[in-house]
Amino acid sequence: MKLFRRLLLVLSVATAVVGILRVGGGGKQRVTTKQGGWRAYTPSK
Amino acid sequence: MIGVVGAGLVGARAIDALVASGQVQVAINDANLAVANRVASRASRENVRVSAVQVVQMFEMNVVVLAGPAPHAKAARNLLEAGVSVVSCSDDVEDVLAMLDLDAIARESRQTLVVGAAMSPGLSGLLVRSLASRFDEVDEAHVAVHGTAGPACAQQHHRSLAGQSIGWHDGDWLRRPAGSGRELCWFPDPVGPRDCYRAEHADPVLIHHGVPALLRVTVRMSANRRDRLTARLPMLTPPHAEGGTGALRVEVRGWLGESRHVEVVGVADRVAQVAGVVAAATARGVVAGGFGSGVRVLGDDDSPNDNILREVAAGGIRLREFVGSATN
Repeated sequence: MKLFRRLLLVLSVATAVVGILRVGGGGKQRVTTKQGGWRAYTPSK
Repeated sequence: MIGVVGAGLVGARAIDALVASGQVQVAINDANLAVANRVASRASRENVRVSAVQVVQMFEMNVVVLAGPAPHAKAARNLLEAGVSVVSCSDDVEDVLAMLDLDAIARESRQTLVVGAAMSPGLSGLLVRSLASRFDEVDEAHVAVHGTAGPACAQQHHRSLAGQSIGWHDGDWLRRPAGSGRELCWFPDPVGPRDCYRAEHADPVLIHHGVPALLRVTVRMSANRRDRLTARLPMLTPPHAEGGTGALRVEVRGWLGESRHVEVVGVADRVAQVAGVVAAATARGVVAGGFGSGVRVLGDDDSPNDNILREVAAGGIRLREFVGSATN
């Protein structure tokens, strides 16, 4: 029973950490158009 | 007059592109005459005559586009000997090698044979040549392809994952098992990133033929696990009438001043559409006298590459270049 409670505790802490990391990562930088990507290519004349 | 042999997707799109670019007389031939008639009647306009003809009438044309399944070498030889220039859309390695051997016949009959005038090969060579102008010296070209055109193209895609890929590597032809060498390649939107593998594809042969200065030329093709697992088996399900949006990605590396430089261009569109537009632009280039006699590949020194690429862009193919950062 004690082992089971410890397991639950570890799982809940791990879940909380993962949740925090996910929320913390919510402000990730989005790739804007100024940061590159595919542009129209015009063949040279 | 321009003739098209093969009324499949590529042939039909080539007809459409020829008509759209102002060609007023086009002939089409197919083993299935009903299909040829249907394509001809659909493409005909008030001032444009697209006629379905017998194969013997192709010997009366100025230029014939071979848009059917490979092999094309025998038909190309017969047409050249009859004094007809040929544009081939074949992407089969053995077929392409056989056509490159027809140079003497083409020169003797003073006609042009353009080998590999489709998306890959074809547009890939044009893009390599176009990008090369941005470098002081180019030494590597890496091509990646995604998608297929019609059923014959899908079968070729299937076979190419079971054979031996061929690549030019530091002055020697390097053979590796097709389906190996996974690389994540980013194609223009909406295709995006795809796992690509070595494949038995004619691109390295033709790009090296067109730009001999390159030290390394490779080609990869997108595939999933099922494609690779079943590559050595017969196709388990019939191919689609037309693949979805395909894509081509050409990466050229070389020297710009003292530093290494990389340029990436690509296109995302239906493969048959791209192949048809490239074939049509090439055929018009042959009619206009832009190509000399003999065997030619798109991207070589003596071909009107810039004109054809501009015509391809004017034909509605949206070329894209990858810009890695805001400073470029």
